[in-house]
Amino acid sequence: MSTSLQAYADAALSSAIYNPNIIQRSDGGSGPTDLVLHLGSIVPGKKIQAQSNPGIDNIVLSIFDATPGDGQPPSSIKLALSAAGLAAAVPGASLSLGNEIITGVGNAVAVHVRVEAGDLTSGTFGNLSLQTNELVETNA
Amino acid sequence: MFVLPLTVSVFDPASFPGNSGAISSSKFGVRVTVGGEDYTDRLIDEVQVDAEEDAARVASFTVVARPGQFEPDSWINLPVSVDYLQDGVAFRLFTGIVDLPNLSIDGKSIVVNCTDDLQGRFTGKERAQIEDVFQGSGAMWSPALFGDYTDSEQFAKDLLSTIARSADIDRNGLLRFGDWYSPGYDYLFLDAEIFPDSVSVEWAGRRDIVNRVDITLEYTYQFFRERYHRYLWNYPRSFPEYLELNTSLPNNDMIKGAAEQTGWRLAGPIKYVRLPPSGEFDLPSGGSTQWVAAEEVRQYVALGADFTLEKRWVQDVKQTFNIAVESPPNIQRYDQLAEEVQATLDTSVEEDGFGAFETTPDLPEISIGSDRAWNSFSSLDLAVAVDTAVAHSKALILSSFRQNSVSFRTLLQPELERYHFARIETDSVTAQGKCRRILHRISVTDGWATTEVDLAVFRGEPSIEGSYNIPAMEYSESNVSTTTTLDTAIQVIDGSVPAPAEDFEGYVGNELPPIAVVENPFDERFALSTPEISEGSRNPVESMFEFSVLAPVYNQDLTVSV
Repeated sequence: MSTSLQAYADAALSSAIYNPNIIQRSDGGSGPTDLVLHLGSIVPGKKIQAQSNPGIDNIVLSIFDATPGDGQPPSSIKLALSAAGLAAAVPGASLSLGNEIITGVGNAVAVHVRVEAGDLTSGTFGNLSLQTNELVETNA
Repeated sequence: MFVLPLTVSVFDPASFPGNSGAISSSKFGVRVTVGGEDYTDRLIDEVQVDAEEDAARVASFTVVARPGQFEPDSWINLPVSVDYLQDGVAFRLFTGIVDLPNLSIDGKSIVVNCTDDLQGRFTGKERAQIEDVFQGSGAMWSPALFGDYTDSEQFAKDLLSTIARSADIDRNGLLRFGDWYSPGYDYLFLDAEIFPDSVSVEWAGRRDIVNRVDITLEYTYQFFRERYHRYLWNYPRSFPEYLELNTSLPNNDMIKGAAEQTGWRLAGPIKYVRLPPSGEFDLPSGGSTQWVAAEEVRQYVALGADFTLEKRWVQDVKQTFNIAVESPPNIQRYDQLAEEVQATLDTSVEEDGFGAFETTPDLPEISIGSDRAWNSFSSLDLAVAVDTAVAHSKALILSSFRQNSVSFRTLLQPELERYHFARIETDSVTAQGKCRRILHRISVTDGWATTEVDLAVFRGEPSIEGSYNIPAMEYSESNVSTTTTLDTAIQVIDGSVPAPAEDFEGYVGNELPPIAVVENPFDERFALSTPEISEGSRNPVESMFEFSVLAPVYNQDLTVSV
C-alpha cells in the first residue's frame, strides 16, 4: 500500500530526495560517504505503521538488492539512527524505525546512511535501494 | 512500502582532471530529468550548473518543446536532476526544482532555470529547525549582537556569519558546511589539464583587509537591593527610679508614627517593653510604694522598643567590554585596518512592585556590603554574547584575507564540490584554495564539457587563534552600621538640661513631679532618622574591561611567474 512517507534532505521536510547518487573512486580513495535522510511526511494528522500488525510490528528499513550477485553488494551500505551509530552498524543490516511514524514536520526519523562501494569496478550501479516493509497510513 | 533507489557511481579518477595530470579522451553525455520524465533527447544548446558559495546552486538548460500547449506554471517546482555521464559512469551534478521555465521567442524551445532552493531551507522555518541545521557547525547567536530574533532566514544568515565555513547544498540536495581553510587539497590540476589562457588571478586590495575588529559590548543589568536597620530604645532608668522620679514616657503611637515617617517600611511588629503589672515596689531611697496601672495604659506606654526598618531600591549596573580581536602579524604587515562591532546586552527584569515589597525577583541572591540583594546578571548570556561577537569578528577577519581569486577552466570535473580544496600548478601560476565557485558547462550542440573553477585563496601573515577569559566584575561596598541605639533626653525640674540637637534620635520628654511644674519643658516627641543611602549605593555602577583576542589568519600558495 502506498503511503505519504518520503525521504527528505532536511528535518523541516522542505526538500524531497528521490535518488541520491553516491560517487566512489575505483582506487578506494573516496572512503565512506555519509548521508542523512529524514523519513517523514508533510501530510498532517496521519500515522504510518507496519501493515503486518499496525502499531505492534516495527517499520523496518532494509537494503534491497535487485540483482543479487551483480552490482554493488548490500554490505556497501550501513544504516543507523545516529552518526555515532554508523561505526557499530552491521554492513547490509536493516534498521528498525519504531512501530510508527507520525506525519508532520518535527516527527521525521533521521536515518544515517553510510555508503562505501564493495565493488570498485567502474560503472553506475542502481541495483540497491532502501525499502521498508509494507506500510499503512491511517488517521493519527 | 517506501522505496528509495540509490545510485552508486564508481569511477576511475585518472580519467578526470585534477587527479593525475593526464586525461585520456572519453565519451561523455548528459541526462536531464524534469518531474521524473527524461528530457535528455530534447536538449539543445548548453546545459549549465553553477554553484557559488553561500548561494543556491542553479542549473539551466534548453529543451525542444513538445507539440501542444505549454503551461509554464505546471513546470514550476517540478523536481529536476542533471547527470553527467562519462565512460558509462553517471555523476549527479544537480538536484533541485524548476524555478522559471521560459518559452523562447521562436516558441519551439523552453529555457528551464532551476534552483536547489538553498533559501527555502531557511525561509519560513521554526527557529528550532534552523538550530537543528546548524547543530555541530560551531555557529553561535546572541541578541546582543544581532538584535531580537526576527525570522528564520535572517537567523540563518546571522549564524553563518559566526563561522569560517560556507553552507552549500551538495549534488544530492544535502546541506554541507565547508571549511574555508584546509592545509591540504583534494585535487591537483597541472598545466596539461587546464585550458591555455584560462587562468586568471585577482588579488584582494589593501582596502579589503580587516586585521582588527574592535568590539564594544555594553551590558546592562540590575542590583535589586534591600537594606535593614534596627532601632533599640530603652528608658534610661530602672522602673523603681521611674516610680520615685516620675517622667513622661513615649507611647505606641509616638514610636510607630516616628518609624512610619521615615519612608522606610517596618519589618515586622515593634517589640515593646511594657510597664510592669500593678504591685508593690521598693524605692531606691528606701521604703516602698504601691503601683497601680490599668492594663490599657500598660499596653500603650513603653519603657523600651525594638524594631527594624527596611528599604528597597534598584541600582543599575553597566559593564562595558572593549574587546580587540586582532591578528598582530597582519597589523605589523599592513598597519592597522580595523572595523567596529557594536553589541548591547540587557538582562534587566521588571522592577514593578519591588520597592513596595510587593514582589521579590526570582534571581540569585547575593550580598553587597551589609545589604541583601538580587542581581539580574547572567553569566551565560554574557558568555554567549562575548563568544558570538568574537566568533563573528574572527570570521570577518578571516573572510577579508580570502578575497583573492584564482580561476581556471578544465575539462568537466564532475566530482568537484564547493567544500573541496584544489591546487593548480602551471608554468605561470601556483595556487591553492577552496572552491568558491564551480560552473559546469556542457554543450549539447558542439560536444564539449568544461568546468570553470574559482578558488578562494587565503593570503596573509599566518597567525594563530588565541583563547580568552571574560573578566568578571567584583563589586563590593563597605558594611554600613545596621543598628542605632536611640537616646533619651528628659528635662528636669529646674530646666537645666539643654535642648536636644536637631538630629537627636530617641525620646524627648520631661520629669513629671506631682505638683511642681518643669522649667523650660521639652516638646515631647519620639524622633528617629534613617541612615542615608549613599550615592555610591544608589547611582549606576559602571565598569569597563578591556582585553584582546588573537584571530587566526591563514596563508595559501599563490605565486605568479611573469
